[in-house]
Amino acid sequence: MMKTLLTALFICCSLFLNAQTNVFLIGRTLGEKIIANGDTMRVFGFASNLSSHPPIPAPLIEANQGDSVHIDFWNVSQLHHHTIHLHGLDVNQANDGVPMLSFDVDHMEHGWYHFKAPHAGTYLYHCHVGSTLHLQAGMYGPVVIRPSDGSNTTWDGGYAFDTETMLFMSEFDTFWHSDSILDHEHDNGAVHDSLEIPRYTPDFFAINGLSDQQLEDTVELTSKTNYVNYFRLVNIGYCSNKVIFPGSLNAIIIDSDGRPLPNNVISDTVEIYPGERYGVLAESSTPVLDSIEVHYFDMMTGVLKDVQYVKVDIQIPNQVAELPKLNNLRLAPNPTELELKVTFDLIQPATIGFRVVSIDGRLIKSELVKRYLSGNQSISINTSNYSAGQYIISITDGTRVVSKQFVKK
Amino acid sequence: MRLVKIYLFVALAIVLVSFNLTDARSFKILGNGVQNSTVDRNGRVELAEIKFLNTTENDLYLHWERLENTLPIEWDYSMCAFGKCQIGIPSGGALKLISPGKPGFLALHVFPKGIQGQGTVQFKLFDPKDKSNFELLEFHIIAE
Repeated sequence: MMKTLLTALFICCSLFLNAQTNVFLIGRTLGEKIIANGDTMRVFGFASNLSSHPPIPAPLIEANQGDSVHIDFWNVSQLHHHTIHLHGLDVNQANDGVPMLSFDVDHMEHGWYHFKAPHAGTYLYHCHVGSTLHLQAGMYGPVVIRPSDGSNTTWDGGYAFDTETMLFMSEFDTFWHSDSILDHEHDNGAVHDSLEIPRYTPDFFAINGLSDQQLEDTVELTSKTNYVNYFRLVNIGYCSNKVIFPGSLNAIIIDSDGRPLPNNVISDTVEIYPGERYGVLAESSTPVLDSIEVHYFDMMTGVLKDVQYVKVDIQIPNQVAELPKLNNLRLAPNPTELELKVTFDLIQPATIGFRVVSIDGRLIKSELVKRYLSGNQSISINTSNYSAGQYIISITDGTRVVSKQFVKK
Repeated sequence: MRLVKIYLFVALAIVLVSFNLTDARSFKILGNGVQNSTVDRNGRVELAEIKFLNTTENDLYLHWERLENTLPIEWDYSMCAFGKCQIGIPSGGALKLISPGKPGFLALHVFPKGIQGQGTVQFKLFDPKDKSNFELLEFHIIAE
């Protein structure tokens, strides 16, 4: 009896220790992205479905340390080969997505990548075919490996944190996104295709794929005093970055490229070169209403090209109504065509506002709806004139914001 | 003898005219212009494809237009036309130039995402220089 129990326990432990994470990604080359000036730019990218333009950055790959991760990559892009290079994850050569050392994936083919999730930390993935061009075109995304237990801790035995913010820096040179540049000849098996790379003069500087007003509308740190806020900083652009935290956040650099630093560095400024990642803890005992500055420098000349800002709003907890009034947000039908019905439960009467943002950060609709009584409530949104694609709806009751994604067919 | 020559001339003329008429089409469907695919609702139709051939001696530049799409809106799908793979199924587009005697294609990719149902996508494939020169292509997808 004891032997059977021990065997069952061993199997359970084995299953737990060897959890499996499956990821499905589709390679696309006819995606569109709306940039900060409202123009549409052609992009390449990794998407998780067929109907939506590939998001930039690509979908997050997330696993716990020790998990077996299996990526099924399907290339649906004629004329272009692609790979998934797992940048910094120390995978074996066969699974590292460098085409001349393993394989590349042709149109309508699948490529499978397998790895054991390494040390908890921040990594990234990108296409390694025609790397210079395909990266700029948009084929990159983040990888977050969490501690073995999946907790809000930087790594096994590391620092616990209350909030987590990814700042994923890149730039766009819109000239590189023209058909004549993107539809290049492919030199089979080569890391760098035999195409002439144009001079790089980025005109949009992005954090999480968003710039200027798009960024201001979407990315911010909202937290509370004495909360530990963990920032994952990633640079996948061709500029070097200087990230400057407000002094009141008491920033400490604790990890780099997926490993803890031997000694923490107390500094408000983090310099990040292309491909690097840093982890920063930030905490304030007093309210903060300020911005994190992200500077972009030309790597050849050292000239500052642009500065982007991420809003920081830290409040004293008891100044904020702690009990959320809004719960159980549901969207139907999803995907939607003509009308999206948004239903939610209110614990007490509240004024409900909502905002719809496209997946690439464009504000579609923003409205303070009206005051609702407690109970089950609903709002109908006319989506008939929305373009097909993914959107995020955020609803606020004045104390918290709840967001959900929906698809317009 | 002279009458025979006239008959022969007329017969030749008829042959040439009829050849010209049958050759008015610059392309022809290879196989069936209707593609039926049945898949488990949790499966995927990764590729339903209809091919066609450039029957001229010149490069052929074809356009396509979506006439109908009744696929369930919960499904995830997109299409490829020769030279370009689209996001979703747009209303129309152009194919890459098809060389003489070479094939082109329209293809559909469908993920029913666990939703049982069926639908049809119909395309009109036409020569933009002569819109009367067209073929209808139909994809019927069933998820059981």
